Amino acid sequence: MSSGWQLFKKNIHYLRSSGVTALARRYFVMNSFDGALTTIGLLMGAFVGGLREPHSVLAVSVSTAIAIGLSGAWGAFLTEKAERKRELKEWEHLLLRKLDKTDLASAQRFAAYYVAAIDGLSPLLTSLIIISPFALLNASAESLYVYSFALGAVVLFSLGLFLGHLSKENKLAFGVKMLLAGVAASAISFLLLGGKIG
Amino acid sequence: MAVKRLVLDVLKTNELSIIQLSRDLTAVKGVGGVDIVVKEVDRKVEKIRITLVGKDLHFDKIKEVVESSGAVIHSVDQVSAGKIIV
Repeated sequence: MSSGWQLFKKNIHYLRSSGVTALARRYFVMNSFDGALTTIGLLMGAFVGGLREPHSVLAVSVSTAIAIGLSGAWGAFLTEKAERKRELKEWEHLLLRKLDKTDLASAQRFAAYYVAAIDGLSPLLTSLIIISPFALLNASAESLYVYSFALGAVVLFSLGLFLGHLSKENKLAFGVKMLLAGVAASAISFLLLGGKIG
Repeated sequence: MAVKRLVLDVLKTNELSIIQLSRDLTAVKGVGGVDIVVKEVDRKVEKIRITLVGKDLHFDKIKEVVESSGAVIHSVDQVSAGKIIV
């Protein structure tokens, strides 16, 4: 097998040539969206439920963000590893040889870690961005909620812009569509929970 | 007497890039140039022909590079050895 640095460069080349980077891009957007909407829903529930201590909101939100991140990373890792192992066995059958000590097997393992990292970090990051006012700002609880919801809107809109850029279509339209999802999630939570400030 | 030209019949997975493989082969000592042609494409595997030319080709090292990349040499189709290439 190749030396460390050469292997790393080969693994990066493999990610591009085998379509893993495209897959990771999809996972990045999907999971960031999941993280953002989950956090927005959580904050709306906390707001309507009358939770006004920033420290408590932060504790609940961070705990949820970590759980989402771990869930994404672990699930993706096990799924990707299983899929790639299946593919490796298929190739071994066709090539009539073992592939476990080859650069290809190493690249496949790298791909599983890469996808798991994207799956875990993307929802965690978006969640932490949205709840950051509760950690960083010294303001009233209501203001902190407003800032967080505003950040949530910015995150969702930005994801939409990114999708629009990827598909070379109307970025604004994508941004608005993503934003509408956030508004819908917040509105439904607000109405279902009684629609009044506790 | 040094082997100066080798033509190999190789079976590889469809995800193994021939660009990367050619880079790996040109890094082998004694290899001056590499030419890779895709002969057959299947759903999961591809048959390629690798032509290597150099001052002194070491088959064992070339085989090691091909196999560590995840491909397999099916046959050595042509060899040219000696002072000049025929």
